[in-house]
Amino acid sequence: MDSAGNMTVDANTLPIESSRRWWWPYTHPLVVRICIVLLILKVILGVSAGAAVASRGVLHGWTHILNSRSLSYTFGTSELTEGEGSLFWNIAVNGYTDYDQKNIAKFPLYSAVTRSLWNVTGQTVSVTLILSILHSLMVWAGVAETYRFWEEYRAGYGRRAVLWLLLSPLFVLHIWLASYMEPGFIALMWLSLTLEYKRKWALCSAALLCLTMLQPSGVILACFLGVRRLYQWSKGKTPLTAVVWALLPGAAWLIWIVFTSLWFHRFLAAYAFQDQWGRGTFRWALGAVDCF
Amino acid sequence: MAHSAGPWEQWIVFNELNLKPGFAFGYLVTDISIAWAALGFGCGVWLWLRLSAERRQKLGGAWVMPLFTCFVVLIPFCTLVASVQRYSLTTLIGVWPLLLSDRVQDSPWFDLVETLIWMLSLLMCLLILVAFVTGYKYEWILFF
Repeated sequence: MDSAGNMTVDANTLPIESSRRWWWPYTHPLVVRICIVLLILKVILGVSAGAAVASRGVLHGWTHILNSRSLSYTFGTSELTEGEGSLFWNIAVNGYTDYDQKNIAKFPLYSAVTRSLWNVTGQTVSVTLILSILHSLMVWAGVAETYRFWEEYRAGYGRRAVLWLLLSPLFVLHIWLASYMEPGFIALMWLSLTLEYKRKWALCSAALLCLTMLQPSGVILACFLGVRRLYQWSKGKTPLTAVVWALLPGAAWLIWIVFTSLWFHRFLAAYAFQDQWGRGTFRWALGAVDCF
Repeated sequence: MAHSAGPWEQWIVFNELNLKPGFAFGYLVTDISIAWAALGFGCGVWLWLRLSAERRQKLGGAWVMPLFTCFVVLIPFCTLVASVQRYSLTTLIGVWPLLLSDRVQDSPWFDLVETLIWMLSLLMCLLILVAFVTGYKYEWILFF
């Protein structure tokens, strides 16, 4: 209180986030610098790998084993969409149809956004270029959201968390350079946990919904956070609306699973078709019970 | 029912594929990365249990991250080694050194160790990318 009895607030005692816009990590100099370096590396990798492929006259990666239509090789960007990227490229162009049923194992968000942008451009822009731009945006979000979460956990941890993810002994730097979905998954995961901690229930559930539609394992985090909200509601620590919002990603996942199972006449099609990618995830765990 | 190998058979197959193109560097990368994932899971859960309740709350709740890590990495790892590195990165395993105690993390020696690990990892990643560009990618790079 001042001498006139008015409430005064010392700006230095305010929580850090209250004096910042929500996008502050996206414009943080370190985040911007890292993203620029990754973008330069990505272009160097893409062009040099594209040149190497062109000089051999052979299209590498998975594109030559996929039953695909309308895929055109684009020098320079094609190598950026090798591996996982070529699957999303394929799904964005061809959709989920009988031509290659196992593609249903890939959840739809990344491909759907790519397809939408492709349509917005009148299908005149290369799909590989759209995938590459989308991937770069996911990298930006992934680095920024990681920085936000850990910097708010403890000052100075943001930079270290980003470096542990980029330069991990897991040797997965390439996911930040080629069109893998992991940067998007990382962005949405840390964003979900940030929003959950800040008790932004609806926004958190929306982020979890995107996470679930990006990769199958997203629903696991949504499920755990939903159970946590339910437990906290039973203790009177969260409102009922938080629990209701928690149902959103699970409901979307359930609708997608039922829909795709009926569509492809196969129980849990989105998971069962993992087997055709050489991933017998459910077979070994279930032993003799070959329910897929 | 098709034959399905357990985790250790899968690991052997995985390493054999890495050696097949005559690229022993892939074998080294595979084993270091899988060892780091295993270390990250063990240390991550142990360090999590030692965190204060307040810090656990800031990390998404009392048990959300360890359970999520277990379901996303450990269970698939028991069925298939492939891609364990990528899935590890999206969980607590990717950042587990940040859970070490403040006393350890505030030490200048820790800064040095951390920086050395990052430098070595970057070096290895650059070698992987060179291998990728020059055509050694077929059998093993797709497993990452």
